Amino acid sequence: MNTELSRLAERLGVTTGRLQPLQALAKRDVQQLDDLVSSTMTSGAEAFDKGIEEALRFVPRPLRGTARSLLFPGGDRG
Amino acid sequence: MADLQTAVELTKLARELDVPDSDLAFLAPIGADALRDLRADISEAIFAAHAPQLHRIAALTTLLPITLTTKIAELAMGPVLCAKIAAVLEPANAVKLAKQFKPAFLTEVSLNLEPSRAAAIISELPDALVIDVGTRLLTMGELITLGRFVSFVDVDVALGVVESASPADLLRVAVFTEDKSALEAIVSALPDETLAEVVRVAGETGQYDDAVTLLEALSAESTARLLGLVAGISTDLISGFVSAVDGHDAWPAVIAGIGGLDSEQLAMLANLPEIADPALIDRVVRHAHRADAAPSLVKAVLVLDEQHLEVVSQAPALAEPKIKKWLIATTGVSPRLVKAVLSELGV
Repeated sequence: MNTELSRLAERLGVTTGRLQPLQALAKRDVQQLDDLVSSTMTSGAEAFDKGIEEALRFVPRPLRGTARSLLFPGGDRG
Repeated sequence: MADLQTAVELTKLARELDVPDSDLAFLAPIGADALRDLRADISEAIFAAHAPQLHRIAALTTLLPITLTTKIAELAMGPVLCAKIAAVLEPANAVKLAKQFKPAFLTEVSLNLEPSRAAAIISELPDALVIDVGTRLLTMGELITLGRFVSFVDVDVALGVVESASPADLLRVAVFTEDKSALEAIVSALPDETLAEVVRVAGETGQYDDAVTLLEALSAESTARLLGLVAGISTDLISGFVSAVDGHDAWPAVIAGIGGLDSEQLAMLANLPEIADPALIDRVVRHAHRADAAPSLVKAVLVLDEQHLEVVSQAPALAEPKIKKWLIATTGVSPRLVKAVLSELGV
Protein backbone atom coordinates (compact mmCIF):
# COMPACT_ATOMS: atom_id res chain seq x y z
CA MET A 1 0.00 0.00 0.00
CA ASN A 2 1.60 3.29 -1.03
CA THR A 3 1.96 6.33 1.20
CA GLU A 4 -0.29 8.51 -0.94
CA LEU A 5 -3.15 6.05 -0.71
CA SER A 6 -2.72 5.68 3.06
CA ARG A 7 -2.81 9.46 3.44
CA LEU A 8 -5.99 9.76 1.38
CA ALA A 9 -7.61 6.89 3.32
CA GLU A 10 -6.77 8.63 6.58
CA ARG A 11 -8.20 11.91 5.32
CA LEU A 12 -11.43 10.20 4.24
CA GLY A 13 -11.67 8.11 7.39
CA VAL A 14 -11.82 4.85 5.47
CA THR A 15 -9.62 1.78 5.28
CA THR A 16 -7.02 1.55 2.54
CA GLY A 17 -8.87 -1.56 1.39
CA ARG A 18 -11.87 0.61 0.63
CA LEU A 19 -9.70 2.59 -1.80
CA GLN A 20 -8.35 -0.51 -3.49
CA PRO A 21 -9.57 0.60 -6.97
CA LEU A 22 -7.25 3.62 -6.71
CA GLN A 23 -4.22 1.34 -6.57
CA ALA A 24 -4.41 1.19 -10.34
CA LEU A 25 -3.60 4.91 -10.49
CA ALA A 26 -0.17 6.51 -10.51
CA LYS A 27 1.00 7.77 -7.11
CA ARG A 28 0.96 11.35 -8.35
CA ASP A 29 -2.72 10.97 -9.31
CA VAL A 30 -3.65 9.73 -5.84
CA GLN A 31 -1.66 12.64 -4.42
CA GLN A 32 -3.56 15.02 -6.70
CA LEU A 33 -6.89 13.64 -5.52
CA ASP A 34 -5.81 13.94 -1.89
CA ASP A 35 -4.80 17.56 -2.53
CA LEU A 36 -8.22 18.31 -4.04
CA VAL A 37 -10.06 16.78 -1.10
CA SER A 38 -7.84 18.63 1.35
CA SER A 39 -8.37 21.89 -0.49
CA THR A 40 -12.17 21.39 -0.49
CA MET A 41 -12.14 20.71 3.25
CA THR A 42 -10.00 23.74 3.96
CA SER A 43 -12.05 26.12 1.85
CA GLY A 44 -15.21 24.72 3.42
CA ALA A 45 -13.86 25.33 6.93
CA GLU A 46 -12.89 28.89 6.01
CA ALA A 47 -16.34 29.51 4.59
CA PHE A 48 -17.92 28.24 7.81
CA ASP A 49 -15.75 30.48 9.98
CA LYS A 50 -16.63 33.47 7.83
CA GLY A 51 -20.33 32.56 7.79
CA ILE A 52 -20.45 32.18 11.57
CA GLU A 53 -18.76 35.55 12.10
CA GLU A 54 -21.24 37.12 9.72
CA ALA A 55 -24.16 35.40 11.42
CA LEU A 56 -23.20 36.86 14.80
CA ARG A 57 -23.61 40.36 13.40
CA PHE A 58 -27.29 39.64 12.82
CA VAL A 59 -27.97 38.18 16.26
CA PRO A 60 -29.66 40.75 18.57
CA ARG A 61 -27.26 42.15 21.17
CA PRO A 62 -28.98 40.50 24.19
CA LEU A 63 -28.54 37.07 22.59
CA ARG A 64 -25.11 37.65 21.14
CA GLY A 65 -23.17 36.35 24.16
CA THR A 66 -25.18 33.16 24.27
CA ALA A 67 -24.85 32.74 20.53
CA ARG A 68 -21.10 33.33 20.67
CA SER A 69 -20.58 30.76 23.41
CA LEU A 70 -22.72 28.30 21.45
CA LEU A 71 -20.82 28.81 18.22
CA PHE A 72 -17.37 29.00 19.83
CA PRO A 73 -17.60 26.72 22.86
CA GLY A 74 -13.85 26.90 23.46
CA GLY A 75 -14.00 30.67 23.46
CA ASP A 76 -11.24 30.64 20.89
CA ARG A 77 -12.93 32.90 18.36
CA GLY A 78 -14.77 36.14 18.19
CA MET B 1 -21.46 1.32 -21.52
CA ALA B 2 -19.05 1.83 -18.66
CA ASP B 3 -17.46 4.86 -20.31
CA LEU B 4 -20.75 6.78 -20.31
CA GLN B 5 -21.53 6.01 -16.70
CA THR B 6 -17.95 6.86 -15.78
CA ALA B 7 -18.32 10.28 -17.42
CA VAL B 8 -21.51 10.90 -15.45
CA GLU B 9 -19.85 9.91 -12.17
CA LEU B 10 -16.81 12.07 -12.93
CA THR B 11 -19.11 15.03 -13.45
CA LYS B 12 -20.81 14.42 -10.10
CA LEU B 13 -17.51 14.07 -8.26
CA ALA B 14 -16.21 17.25 -9.91
CA ARG B 15 -19.29 19.03 -8.53
CA GLU B 16 -18.52 17.71 -5.04
CA LEU B 17 -14.95 18.98 -5.23
CA ASP B 18 -15.90 22.19 -7.05
CA VAL B 19 -13.48 21.62 -9.92
CA PRO B 20 -13.94 21.27 -13.69
CA ASP B 21 -14.63 17.73 -14.91
CA SER B 22 -11.37 17.77 -16.83
CA ASP B 23 -9.40 18.06 -13.58
CA LEU B 24 -10.58 14.58 -12.63
CA ALA B 25 -9.97 12.86 -15.97
CA PHE B 26 -7.15 10.89 -14.37
CA LEU B 27 -9.75 9.01 -12.29
CA ALA B 28 -11.61 7.61 -15.32
CA PRO B 29 -9.70 4.28 -15.33
CA ILE B 30 -11.19 3.19 -12.01
CA GLY B 31 -14.68 2.97 -13.54
CA ALA B 32 -18.18 4.11 -12.61
CA ASP B 33 -18.83 1.85 -9.62
CA ALA B 34 -15.57 2.74 -7.89
CA LEU B 35 -16.14 6.42 -8.65
CA ARG B 36 -19.61 6.26 -7.09
CA ASP B 37 -18.15 4.74 -3.91
CA LEU B 38 -15.32 7.26 -3.90
CA ARG B 39 -17.76 10.17 -4.22
CA ALA B 40 -19.80 8.82 -1.31
CA ASP B 41 -16.66 8.52 0.85
CA ILE B 42 -15.44 12.01 -0.09
CA SER B 43 -18.86 13.56 0.51
CA GLU B 44 -19.10 11.86 3.90
CA ALA B 45 -15.57 12.93 4.88
CA ILE B 46 -16.16 16.56 3.92
CA PHE B 47 -19.44 16.53 5.82
CA ALA B 48 -17.82 14.93 8.88
CA ALA B 49 -14.98 17.47 8.83
CA HIS B 50 -17.50 20.26 9.38
CA ALA B 51 -19.88 18.36 11.64
CA PRO B 52 -19.02 20.18 14.92
CA GLN B 53 -19.60 23.60 13.31
CA LEU B 54 -22.78 22.36 11.64
CA HIS B 55 -24.28 21.15 14.89
CA ARG B 56 -23.46 24.41 16.67
CA ILE B 57 -25.13 26.45 13.95
CA ALA B 58 -28.11 24.10 14.02
CA ALA B 59 -28.39 24.69 17.78
CA LEU B 60 -28.27 28.45 17.20
CA THR B 61 -31.28 28.26 14.89
CA THR B 62 -33.39 26.90 17.75
CA LEU B 63 -32.60 30.01 19.85
CA LEU B 64 -33.71 32.56 17.28
CA PRO B 65 -37.06 33.45 15.73
CA ILE B 66 -37.52 31.93 12.30
CA THR B 67 -37.61 35.28 10.51
CA LEU B 68 -34.20 36.14 11.94
CA THR B 69 -32.83 32.70 11.16
CA THR B 70 -34.02 33.12 7.59
CA LYS B 71 -32.29 36.49 7.36
CA ILE B 72 -29.03 35.07 8.77
CA ALA B 73 -29.22 32.12 6.41
CA GLU B 74 -29.76 34.23 3.31
CA LEU B 75 -27.46 37.14 4.16
CA ALA B 76 -24.72 35.68 6.36
CA MET B 77 -24.43 32.00 5.65
CA GLY B 78 -25.26 31.80 1.98
CA PRO B 79 -26.55 28.81 0.02
CA VAL B 80 -23.45 26.60 0.25
CA LEU B 81 -23.33 26.60 4.05
CA CYS B 82 -27.11 26.44 4.35
CA ALA B 83 -27.12 23.29 2.24
CA LYS B 84 -24.70 21.65 4.65
CA ILE B 85 -26.52 22.91 7.74
CA ALA B 86 -29.84 21.58 6.42
CA ALA B 87 -28.54 18.06 6.79
CA VAL B 88 -28.23 18.39 10.58
CA LEU B 89 -31.38 20.38 11.30
CA GLU B 90 -34.47 18.69 12.65
CA PRO B 91 -36.46 18.03 9.45
CA ALA B 92 -39.50 19.90 10.80
CA ASN B 93 -37.36 23.00 11.49
CA ALA B 94 -35.64 22.70 8.15
CA VAL B 95 -38.99 22.52 6.36
CA LYS B 96 -40.23 25.65 8.19
CA LEU B 97 -37.05 27.44 7.21
CA ALA B 98 -37.17 26.27 3.60
CA LYS B 99 -40.71 27.60 3.25
CA GLN B 100 -39.45 31.01 4.39
CA PHE B 101 -36.61 31.19 1.89
CA LYS B 102 -37.03 33.04 -1.37
CA PRO B 103 -37.40 30.40 -4.13
CA ALA B 104 -34.28 31.71 -5.86
CA PHE B 105 -32.24 31.22 -2.68
CA LEU B 106 -33.74 27.77 -2.08
CA THR B 107 -32.73 26.88 -5.63
CA GLU B 108 -29.14 27.90 -4.86
CA VAL B 109 -29.28 25.81 -1.67
CA SER B 110 -30.50 22.79 -3.60
CA LEU B 111 -27.51 23.05 -5.92
CA ASN B 112 -25.26 22.34 -2.94
CA LEU B 113 -27.48 19.91 -1.08
CA GLU B 114 -26.69 16.23 -0.80
CA PRO B 115 -30.18 14.86 -1.57
CA SER B 116 -29.68 11.66 0.39
CA ARG B 117 -29.08 13.68 3.57
CA ALA B 118 -32.09 15.89 2.97
CA ALA B 119 -34.62 13.24 1.94
CA ALA B 120 -36.76 13.79 5.05
CA ILE B 121 -36.91 17.52 4.30
CA ILE B 122 -37.62 17.21 0.60
CA SER B 123 -40.49 14.81 1.19
CA GLU B 124 -42.22 17.32 3.50
CA LEU B 125 -41.94 20.37 1.25
CA PRO B 126 -45.06 21.47 -0.64
CA ASP B 127 -45.16 19.97 -4.16
CA ALA B 128 -45.61 23.42 -5.70
CA LEU B 129 -42.42 24.66 -4.04
CA VAL B 130 -40.41 21.64 -5.18
CA ILE B 131 -41.73 22.03 -8.73
CA ASP B 132 -40.86 25.74 -8.64
CA VAL B 133 -37.29 25.00 -7.53
CA GLY B 134 -36.98 22.14 -10.00
CA THR B 135 -38.16 24.35 -12.85
CA ARG B 136 -35.63 26.99 -11.87
CA LEU B 137 -32.87 24.36 -11.88
CA LEU B 138 -34.02 23.34 -15.33
CA THR B 139 -33.85 26.93 -16.55
CA MET B 140 -30.35 27.22 -15.11
CA GLY B 141 -29.31 24.07 -16.95
CA GLU B 142 -28.55 22.32 -13.64
CA LEU B 143 -29.46 18.92 -14.98
CA ILE B 144 -27.10 16.98 -12.73
CA THR B 145 -28.78 18.41 -9.65
CA LEU B 146 -32.20 17.63 -11.07
CA GLY B 147 -31.16 14.10 -11.89
CA ARG B 148 -29.99 13.59 -8.32
CA PHE B 149 -33.21 14.94 -6.81
CA VAL B 150 -35.51 12.90 -9.01
CA SER B 151 -34.93 9.91 -6.73
CA PHE B 152 -36.25 11.79 -3.71
CA VAL B 153 -39.50 13.27 -5.00
CA ASP B 154 -42.81 11.74 -5.97
CA VAL B 155 -43.27 10.80 -9.61
CA ASP B 156 -46.00 13.43 -10.00
CA VAL B 157 -43.67 16.12 -8.71
CA ALA B 158 -40.88 14.96 -11.01
CA LEU B 159 -43.29 15.01 -13.94
CA GLY B 160 -44.36 18.50 -12.93
CA VAL B 161 -40.75 19.61 -13.32
CA VAL B 162 -39.86 17.77 -16.50
CA GLU B 163 -43.03 18.71 -18.35
CA SER B 164 -41.39 22.05 -19.14
CA ALA B 165 -38.07 20.43 -20.12
CA SER B 166 -36.91 20.29 -23.72
CA PRO B 167 -36.51 16.74 -25.06
CA ALA B 168 -32.72 17.13 -24.97
CA ASP B 169 -32.77 18.29 -21.34
CA LEU B 170 -35.17 15.54 -20.39
CA LEU B 171 -32.77 12.98 -21.76
CA ARG B 172 -29.83 14.49 -19.85
CA VAL B 173 -31.82 14.52 -16.59
CA ALA B 174 -32.60 10.86 -17.18
CA VAL B 175 -28.93 10.08 -17.69
CA PHE B 176 -28.03 11.81 -14.42
CA THR B 177 -30.81 10.15 -12.41
CA GLU B 178 -29.15 8.03 -9.75
CA ASP B 179 -32.07 5.87 -8.72
CA LYS B 180 -32.98 3.74 -11.71
CA SER B 181 -36.31 2.68 -10.19
CA ALA B 182 -37.30 6.37 -10.01
CA LEU B 183 -36.25 6.81 -13.62
CA GLU B 184 -38.29 3.78 -14.62
CA ALA B 185 -41.35 5.21 -12.86
CA ILE B 186 -40.98 8.55 -14.62
CA VAL B 187 -40.39 7.05 -18.07
CA SER B 188 -43.42 4.82 -17.56
CA ALA B 189 -45.53 7.87 -16.77
CA LEU B 190 -44.34 9.89 -19.78
CA PRO B 191 -46.68 9.81 -22.77
CA ASP B 192 -45.50 8.17 -25.99
CA GLU B 193 -45.43 11.52 -27.77
CA THR B 194 -42.97 12.97 -25.23
CA LEU B 195 -40.73 9.93 -25.27
CA ALA B 196 -40.85 9.79 -29.07
CA GLU B 197 -39.78 13.43 -29.18
CA VAL B 198 -36.88 12.65 -26.86
CA VAL B 199 -35.79 9.83 -29.18
CA ARG B 200 -36.16 11.96 -32.30
CA VAL B 201 -34.23 14.90 -30.87
CA ALA B 202 -31.55 12.54 -29.54
CA GLY B 203 -31.09 11.38 -33.12
CA GLU B 204 -31.13 14.86 -34.62
CA THR B 205 -28.64 16.25 -32.10
CA GLY B 206 -26.41 13.21 -31.97
CA GLN B 207 -27.21 12.41 -28.33
CA TYR B 208 -27.04 8.73 -29.16
CA ASP B 209 -24.80 7.95 -26.21
CA ASP B 210 -27.31 9.46 -23.79
CA ALA B 211 -30.13 7.52 -25.43
CA VAL B 212 -28.16 4.30 -25.03
CA THR B 213 -27.46 5.13 -21.38
CA LEU B 214 -31.19 5.58 -20.85
CA LEU B 215 -31.93 2.34 -22.65
CA GLU B 216 -29.58 0.43 -20.38
CA ALA B 217 -31.19 1.82 -17.24
CA LEU B 218 -34.72 0.74 -18.08
CA SER B 219 -36.69 -2.44 -17.53
CA ALA B 220 -37.25 -4.83 -20.44
CA GLU B 221 -40.79 -3.49 -20.81
CA SER B 222 -39.72 0.15 -21.03
CA THR B 223 -36.78 -0.80 -23.25
CA ALA B 224 -39.22 -2.39 -25.68
CA ARG B 225 -41.36 0.75 -25.60
CA LEU B 226 -38.33 2.93 -26.28
CA LEU B 227 -37.08 0.65 -29.07
CA GLY B 228 -40.53 0.72 -30.62
CA LEU B 229 -40.36 4.50 -30.69
CA VAL B 230 -36.83 4.38 -32.12
CA ALA B 231 -38.21 2.18 -34.93
CA GLY B 232 -40.64 4.96 -35.73
CA ILE B 233 -38.06 7.64 -36.48
CA SER B 234 -36.32 8.13 -39.80
CA THR B 235 -33.91 5.44 -40.94
CA ASP B 236 -30.93 7.79 -40.92
CA LEU B 237 -31.48 8.55 -37.26
CA ILE B 238 -32.03 4.89 -36.34
CA SER B 239 -28.72 4.00 -37.97
CA GLY B 240 -26.88 6.34 -35.64
CA PHE B 241 -28.67 4.80 -32.71
CA VAL B 242 -27.73 1.26 -33.75
CA SER B 243 -24.10 2.32 -34.18
CA ALA B 244 -24.13 3.75 -30.65
CA VAL B 245 -25.63 0.55 -29.25
CA ASP B 246 -22.93 -1.48 -30.97
CA GLY B 247 -20.16 0.97 -30.06
CA HIS B 248 -21.09 0.77 -26.39
CA ASP B 249 -21.87 -2.93 -26.57
CA ALA B 250 -25.35 -2.31 -25.19
CA TRP B 251 -26.84 -5.35 -26.93
CA PRO B 252 -27.93 -7.03 -23.67
CA ALA B 253 -30.40 -4.18 -23.10
CA VAL B 254 -31.69 -4.39 -26.68
CA ILE B 255 -32.03 -8.17 -26.50
CA ALA B 256 -34.05 -7.79 -23.29
CA GLY B 257 -36.46 -5.49 -25.10
CA ILE B 258 -36.95 -7.59 -28.24
CA GLY B 259 -39.70 -9.67 -26.64
CA GLY B 260 -41.91 -6.58 -26.31
CA LEU B 261 -41.55 -5.40 -29.92
CA ASP B 262 -44.06 -6.21 -32.63
CA SER B 263 -42.83 -7.77 -35.87
CA GLU B 264 -43.02 -4.54 -37.83
CA GLN B 265 -40.96 -2.58 -35.31
CA LEU B 266 -38.44 -5.39 -34.99
CA ALA B 267 -38.11 -5.73 -38.78
CA MET B 268 -37.47 -2.00 -39.08
CA LEU B 269 -34.59 -2.24 -36.61
CA ALA B 270 -33.18 -5.63 -37.55
CA ASN B 271 -32.99 -4.97 -41.30
CA LEU B 272 -30.96 -1.79 -41.08
CA PRO B 273 -27.83 -1.78 -43.25
CA GLU B 274 -25.64 -1.50 -40.12
CA ILE B 275 -26.95 -4.85 -38.87
CA ALA B 276 -25.75 -6.64 -42.02
CA ASP B 277 -22.34 -7.25 -40.51
CA PRO B 278 -21.26 -10.78 -39.53
CA ALA B 279 -19.12 -9.48 -36.67
CA LEU B 280 -22.03 -7.48 -35.24
CA ILE B 281 -24.41 -10.44 -35.60
CA ASP B 282 -21.80 -12.58 -33.89
CA ARG B 283 -21.71 -10.20 -30.91
CA VAL B 284 -25.50 -10.20 -30.69
CA VAL B 285 -25.68 -14.00 -30.78
CA ARG B 286 -23.05 -14.32 -28.05
CA HIS B 287 -24.87 -11.80 -25.84
CA ALA B 288 -28.15 -13.65 -26.41
CA HIS B 289 -26.41 -16.87 -25.43
CA ARG B 290 -25.02 -15.32 -22.24
CA ALA B 291 -28.48 -13.93 -21.40
CA ASP B 292 -30.11 -17.26 -22.30
CA ALA B 293 -32.44 -15.35 -24.62
CA ALA B 294 -32.84 -17.78 -27.51
CA PRO B 295 -36.53 -16.91 -28.09
CA SER B 296 -35.60 -13.24 -28.63
CA LEU B 297 -32.87 -14.22 -31.05
CA VAL B 298 -35.21 -16.44 -33.03
CA LYS B 299 -37.87 -13.73 -33.07
CA ALA B 300 -35.32 -11.35 -34.60
CA VAL B 301 -34.11 -13.89 -37.19
CA LEU B 302 -37.68 -14.52 -38.32
CA VAL B 303 -38.13 -10.89 -39.44
CA LEU B 304 -34.82 -10.61 -41.34
CA ASP B 305 -34.80 -10.04 -45.07
CA GLU B 306 -32.80 -12.20 -47.48
CA GLN B 307 -29.71 -10.01 -47.36
CA HIS B 308 -29.56 -10.12 -43.58
CA LEU B 309 -30.29 -13.85 -43.44
CA GLU B 310 -27.28 -14.35 -45.67
CA VAL B 311 -25.14 -12.44 -43.18
CA VAL B 312 -26.48 -14.39 -40.19
CA SER B 313 -25.07 -17.59 -41.65
CA GLN B 314 -21.61 -16.00 -41.60
CA ALA B 315 -21.63 -15.32 -37.86
CA PRO B 316 -18.94 -17.59 -36.34
CA ALA B 317 -20.91 -18.03 -33.10
CA LEU B 318 -23.64 -19.96 -34.89
CA ALA B 319 -21.13 -22.55 -36.02
CA GLU B 320 -20.10 -23.35 -32.46
CA PRO B 321 -21.60 -26.65 -31.23
CA LYS B 322 -22.43 -25.34 -27.75
CA ILE B 323 -24.39 -22.40 -29.19
CA LYS B 324 -26.17 -24.58 -31.76
CA LYS B 325 -27.07 -27.03 -28.99
CA TRP B 326 -28.34 -24.16 -26.83
CA LEU B 327 -30.47 -22.77 -29.66
CA ILE B 328 -31.99 -26.16 -30.42
CA ALA B 329 -32.81 -26.77 -26.76
CA THR B 330 -34.10 -23.39 -25.60
CA THR B 331 -35.89 -21.55 -28.39
CA GLY B 332 -39.25 -22.85 -27.22
CA VAL B 333 -40.11 -24.39 -30.60
CA SER B 334 -39.64 -27.88 -31.94
CA PRO B 335 -35.92 -28.88 -32.08
CA ARG B 336 -36.55 -30.34 -35.54
CA LEU B 337 -37.81 -27.00 -36.72
CA VAL B 338 -34.78 -25.17 -35.31
CA LYS B 339 -32.42 -27.68 -36.92
CA ALA B 340 -34.22 -27.21 -40.22
CA VAL B 341 -33.93 -23.43 -39.97
CA LEU B 342 -30.24 -23.62 -39.10
CA SER B 343 -29.71 -25.97 -41.99
CA GLU B 344 -31.59 -23.65 -44.31
CA LEU B 345 -29.39 -20.80 -43.15
CA GLY B 346 -26.35 -22.88 -44.04
CA VAL B 347 -25.16 -23.04 -40.44
